Amino acid sequence: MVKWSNSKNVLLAVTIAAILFPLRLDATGKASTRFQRMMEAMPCLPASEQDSVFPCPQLASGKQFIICHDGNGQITHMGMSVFTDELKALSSPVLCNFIERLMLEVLLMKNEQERLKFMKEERFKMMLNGYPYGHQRFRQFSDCLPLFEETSASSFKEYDGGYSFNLENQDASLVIAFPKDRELIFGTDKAEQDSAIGELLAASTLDRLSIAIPSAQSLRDEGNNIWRLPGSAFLIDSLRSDLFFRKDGNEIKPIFQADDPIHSVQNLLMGQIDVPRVVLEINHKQYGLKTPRYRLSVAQTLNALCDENTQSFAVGRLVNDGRDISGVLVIYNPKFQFINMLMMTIARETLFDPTAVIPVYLYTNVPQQNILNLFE
Amino acid sequence: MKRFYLFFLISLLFGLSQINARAQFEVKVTIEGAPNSLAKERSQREASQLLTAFSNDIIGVMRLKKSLKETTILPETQNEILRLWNSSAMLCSVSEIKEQAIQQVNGGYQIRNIPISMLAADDDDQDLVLQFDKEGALINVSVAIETHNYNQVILKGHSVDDMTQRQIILDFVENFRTAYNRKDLDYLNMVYSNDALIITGREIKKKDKDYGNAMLSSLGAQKFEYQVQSKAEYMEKLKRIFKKNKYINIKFEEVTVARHPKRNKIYGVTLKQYWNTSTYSDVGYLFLMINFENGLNPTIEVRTWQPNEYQGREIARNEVFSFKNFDL
Repeated sequence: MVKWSNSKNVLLAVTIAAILFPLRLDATGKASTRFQRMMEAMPCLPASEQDSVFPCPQLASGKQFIICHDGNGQITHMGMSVFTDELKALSSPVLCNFIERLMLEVLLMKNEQERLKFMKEERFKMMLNGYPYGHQRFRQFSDCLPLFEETSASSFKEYDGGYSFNLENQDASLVIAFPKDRELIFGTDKAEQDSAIGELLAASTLDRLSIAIPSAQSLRDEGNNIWRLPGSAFLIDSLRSDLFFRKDGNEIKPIFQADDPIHSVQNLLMGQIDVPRVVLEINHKQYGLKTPRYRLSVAQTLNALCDENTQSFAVGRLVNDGRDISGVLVIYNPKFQFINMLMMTIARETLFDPTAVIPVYLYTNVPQQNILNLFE
Repeated sequence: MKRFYLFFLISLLFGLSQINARAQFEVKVTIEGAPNSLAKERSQREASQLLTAFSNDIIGVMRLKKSLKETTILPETQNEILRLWNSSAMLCSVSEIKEQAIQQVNGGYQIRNIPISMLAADDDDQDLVLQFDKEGALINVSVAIETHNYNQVILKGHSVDDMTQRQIILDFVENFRTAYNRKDLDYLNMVYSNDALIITGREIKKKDKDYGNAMLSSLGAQKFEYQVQSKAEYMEKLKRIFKKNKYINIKFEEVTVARHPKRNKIYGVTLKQYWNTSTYSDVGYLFLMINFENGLNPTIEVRTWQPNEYQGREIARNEVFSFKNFDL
C-alpha cells in the first residue's frame, strides 16, 4: 500500500536507514553533491531546516515531498514522499528511499528529452501498463504520477543483476527496473561513500561480537581435532566463510591459538573470536590516494563494516617461508554488488601478542557488477 | 528490420494456429551440466514448457496462465512469471536452445542467454535467465540486464594474491571513473604516468597515415585515425572538456582484467565506456595498462580509446587494443 508518510514516522525510518547505510556525507561534512544539485533545482522548500513533508505544486500538484536531516543538520534524504515508514521498514529503507529520490530527480528535470537522457545514462527503465517511457502511450513522465496513491499496491522484486519496483492499482501498473548499481541506488559516488565509511569506522564503539557456537552435528571432522563448519566460497575456492573449532570434552571452542595460526586468523577475521585486545591499525585506501588511519579493535571494525546485508569470506595462509601469517577478509554486499576488502600480513607471533597493533589495509566500495572477466 | 522479422514470425505462428487450432510453436531446451539426471529432466521440461507457453499465448492457442497451470512449474514461480508477463509479453524466437548450467553455491543452477523479444518495448531484444533449485525446479525467471554476476561461478586454482590484486585493480578503475565524473584533474594528473602513452581512435573516414612508428601502424590504421597525445596535451584537452560541460557521467561495463604474461605487476584492463556529458555522448572501448611496480600507488602507462562501432559494425573484442599491441 502506498501512503503518504507523516514526518515523525519517516524520520524514524530514515534515521534507521541512515545508521545502517551511511551514505550522505563527504569528508568535509557536506551533503552529497547529488543532494546539493537537487536542492538548487527545487522550486519550493520547507520553511525550516527541520525534517519536513511538504507540498510543491510547481513540481506536481497533489504530491508531497520529503527532506530529512541528520543531527548535524545535513540532508540525509530527499524525494517525493511515496512510502509509509512501516512499508520502508518492511521492504527495504534503501530501495524505498531510492525510489523516492529518483521520482524527485526525474520531476526536477526540465523536459521529457532530458528525462529520457537521464534514464539512458543511468540504465533504469520505466514501463507504464507495459509500455516503456518514451512510447506513444507513455510520453510524459507525469502520466505515471496518478499511480502514486494510497490505493496502489507496491512491491520490490530482486532479479538477476537488478531490482524492479512494481506499483499497480485496478487500472494501471508501473514498473521501474534498475540495476544493482551502488552509486545509482545510494546516490553517492565512491569518494563520498569511502568518506562515509571512514566516518563510520572512526565513530565505531561497539566493542563486542556475538559468537554463536554451532552444534556438534553441523561440524565436519578435518582430523587433528580440527572441526570445520562448512560455508561457501567467494570468487576463488580458497576464500571461504568456513569456521574452525576444537572439541574439549563436550565443549566446542573456536580455534585461536598459536599452534594453528591459519585457522586462527580465519576465525578472527570472520568475527568468531571476541578478543577486544586484538587491535588493528587500519590504513583505509580511500578515493583520491588518501589513506587515513584508525585504531580499532577487531569487533569495532567488523561491527562497522558488516550488517545483515553482507556476507563475509576469509582466508588465512602462511607466507615468507612460514614466518608470517597473511589474512584476507572480503565483506560482500550482494544486494548492491560491492565488496569491502581487508588485508594483513604479520609475523605469526604478533597475532597472539596482547600488546601488538596489527597493520591492515582496507579497500572499500569496490564494485562487483559489470565485470565480464576478472581473470582473463 | 527486427520489427518486421517479429511481425513475420508472429504472422507465421498465427497462420499455423488458424490451420490447426492445436498447433503449437514448441521450444525445446537442452541443459548441459545439471547436477543429476532427475534435475536435468525437470529443468529441461519446465524451461521448454515455459517458452512454449509464451508463444502459445501470443498466437492465441492458450492463455499463459492456463498453460502454466498444466505444467509442473511451482505455483509461486507461476505467479512471478505472470507478473513479468504483465509488464511485457515475450516471445522466444528460436525453437531449440542448448545451454550450459551455471552452478551456484547453494546447489542450484541457472541457464542464461535465452533470446527473447519483449513486445512492449521498441528496442528490446533481451536475454532471459532461468533459475532452478538443486532438484531442477524452476524458481525464478528474470530478464538479464547488462550486468554480470560473475561471482556466482567459483574459480579453482587462482591464488589469493592474484584475486586481491585484481580487486585492487577494480578499486583503482572505480576511482579512475569517479575522477572523471568529479572533474578531478589533480587526481588524474597523479595517476597518469608522466610518460603515459595516450591513443585515441577517432571515428573518421579511412585515412592512410604514417605515424613513423611500426607499433602504432600495426594497430590497424586502416580502420581509424589514431591520435597520439602526451600526458600534458591530454590533460589540457580534459581541462577544456570539464570546463565546457555542466556534468560528466561515465559508466563502465564489460570490464576484463588481464595480467601481463611476463611482468606480473603490470595489468591490462579492457572495458566498454559510456561517455555521457551535458553536450556529447559516445560509446567506446578503453584499454588501460596499469603499472603496480610502484607499490600501492599504481600508475597508468597506456590509455587507448576506440569507438565501439566502425562503419555501422560493432568492433569485436579481439580488435580492441591489448597487451599484444605494446612492447614492454
